[in-house]
Amino acid sequence: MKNGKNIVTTGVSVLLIWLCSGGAIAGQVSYANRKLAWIGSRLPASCLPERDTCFVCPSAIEGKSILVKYGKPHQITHAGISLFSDNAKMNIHETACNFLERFLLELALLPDKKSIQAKLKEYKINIRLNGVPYGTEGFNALIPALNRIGLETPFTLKKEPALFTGIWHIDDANALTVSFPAERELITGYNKREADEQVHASLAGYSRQKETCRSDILPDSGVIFDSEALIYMERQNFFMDKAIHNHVYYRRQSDHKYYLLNDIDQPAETISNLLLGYTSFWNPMIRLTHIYNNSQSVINIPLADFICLFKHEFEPFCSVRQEGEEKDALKITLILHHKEFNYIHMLSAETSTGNIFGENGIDADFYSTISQYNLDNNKFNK
Amino acid sequence: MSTRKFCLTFVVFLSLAAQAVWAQDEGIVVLITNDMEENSLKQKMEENASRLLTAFNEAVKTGKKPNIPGGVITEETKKKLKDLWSMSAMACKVPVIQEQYLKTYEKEYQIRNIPMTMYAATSDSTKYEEIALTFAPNGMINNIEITLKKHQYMHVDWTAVADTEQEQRIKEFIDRFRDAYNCKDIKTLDIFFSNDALIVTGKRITRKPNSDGTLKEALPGERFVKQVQTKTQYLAKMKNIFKNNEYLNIVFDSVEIVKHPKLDPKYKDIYGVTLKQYWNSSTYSDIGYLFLLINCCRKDQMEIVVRTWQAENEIDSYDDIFGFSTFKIEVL
Repeated sequence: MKNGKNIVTTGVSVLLIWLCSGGAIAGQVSYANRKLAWIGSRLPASCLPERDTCFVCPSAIEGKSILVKYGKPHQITHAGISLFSDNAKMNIHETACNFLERFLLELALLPDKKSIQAKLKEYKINIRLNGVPYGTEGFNALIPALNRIGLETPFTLKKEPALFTGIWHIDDANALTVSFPAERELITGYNKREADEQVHASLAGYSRQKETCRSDILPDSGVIFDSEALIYMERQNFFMDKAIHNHVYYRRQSDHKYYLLNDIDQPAETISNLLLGYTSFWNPMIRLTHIYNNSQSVINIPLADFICLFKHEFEPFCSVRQEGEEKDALKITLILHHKEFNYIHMLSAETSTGNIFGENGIDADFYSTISQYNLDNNKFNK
Repeated sequence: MSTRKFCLTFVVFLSLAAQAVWAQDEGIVVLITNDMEENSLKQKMEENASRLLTAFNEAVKTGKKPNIPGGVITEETKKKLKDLWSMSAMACKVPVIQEQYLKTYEKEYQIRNIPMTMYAATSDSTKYEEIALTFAPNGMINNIEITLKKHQYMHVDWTAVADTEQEQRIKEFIDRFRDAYNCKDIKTLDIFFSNDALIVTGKRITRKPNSDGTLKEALPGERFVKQVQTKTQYLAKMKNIFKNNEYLNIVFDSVEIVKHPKLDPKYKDIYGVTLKQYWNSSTYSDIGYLFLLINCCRKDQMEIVVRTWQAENEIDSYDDIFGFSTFKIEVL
């Protein structure tokens, strides 16, 4: 009888503990990427909540709250030490802030100082407390340093072409600094396969834009340049080679102002403007072969919609040239360069002016998420 | 019949025959090569364009102004044609014109690139022009324009653009190659390496001191040994590494891509890639330089033919890194 009572008591206790822990269903939780899966594997299953929340898990990290966010049901899309409010992330840089939260949790879950130093070296990340690098005298323990920063600690983020630097200003005399490379995989946490899947999903799932993408740079009332040329090229930048650029072409009208060139008499310049996302009458359909992860898939998408998908985060560059035996045969290259994380997407097509200005559409190959490996930003020249 | 009458008749006959031949020669046929929803409109456009160009040729032949049949061009276009003809008579010497139609900004149909010979031109540079014909919705020609003689594409080195594109494709391949290691994907590595690949690997050997703390031999405490392996041997080794290391993260840096230096077209798809590799796993880490010889002849699947590794501390300068000159490469 006493044993039976003990069994019941034990069972109820377990049930209560399980319920109090938020009914953790760690066995059913999935992770958006391998990086998060590694973190998840090091958190006690009983700690993981079912929904977006902050929670404490002293067995994992003492003194700090852990933030988790879910995307799809039961899929964790973010896990990290809670250091920024949602508003702060939006104002500063959401991706970089999420990276700092995630990365510092990753470090905190490592067993010892040697492992942390190895990880910092692997990722080429620098952490300093009051200018002292981690692992040297004056900064030997990470958790106490992390306990000095929180949601209310003033924070600044600096961005150079290849480096981010985040600084928590603890007080007038103390600051914690983290410098990390501006690399897509490191900061987003998604390797190439995972990133390609995301690109593929956004292409496959696009919905037809209600309005064609418009550039908000070109006024309808025309632009005035100091020029008498009929066709004017407004010089912008080029990508690695002078022939791959994002110059904009205009034509002078009778009011002596310049309007975006939209004329099949000037096919190369008109197509160039089109590829850079400027409003045009023509919106050819692209039959896009997306080459990724040892597979290929074909997606049909209008050119303007395709450009719209990448408009906010990427800077476009293009090249339009005659190639082939047919008179109007063209070779087109469109490079979409991510504005911050040193990688590109590339679209390549062998087509014709007839296909672009007509109704046949364009067949194109699309390569996504190509690292630029220390791209020299001095190559971006006017 | 008198001889004089006979000669006159003969001359007239010859003229008529010549004209008939000329008419046959000068009957231009215009064909639109892409499909149109309204087939009757397409036929009308072809017919009107053919009749217009034939009328031009006839006018040049006779020295008169073009006699355009009714229903071919609009009244406004007649006026424009009068102005054009006053500058120069023109004829089309190509008997069959095959062009695609385009849609203009104003959503009208247009046929372009029609080659014309201008007879009033005084210099060779203006003797040949191209015209474009624009059509109203009923198939009548409502505009004739002399277009630009040639499209002014940028005068740049297009081979450089093609090289940039190929370089990006190779970088994309390198990214997938690296991913295959980090994801422990033997299947992809099997695809990426040629069956005859030459693979040179390296490993750090650290000598342990004797129990009394001295070293028996006067050798550095750390050195690297190299091994030459076949693809099968290498993949078997990688399977083991994947099995024994929970964590694996390879980082590539300083990637440089170079075309094979031989100008022979047989070598045009051979590229060399040099990069710095950081190997981090649960049990081992090192830094070294990889050289990859890649065959890019197949657009859908590049292949690694040679893969070599050198430790970072072996390299004093860039010239020490293996490259094309290290190997004798023969493309059959």
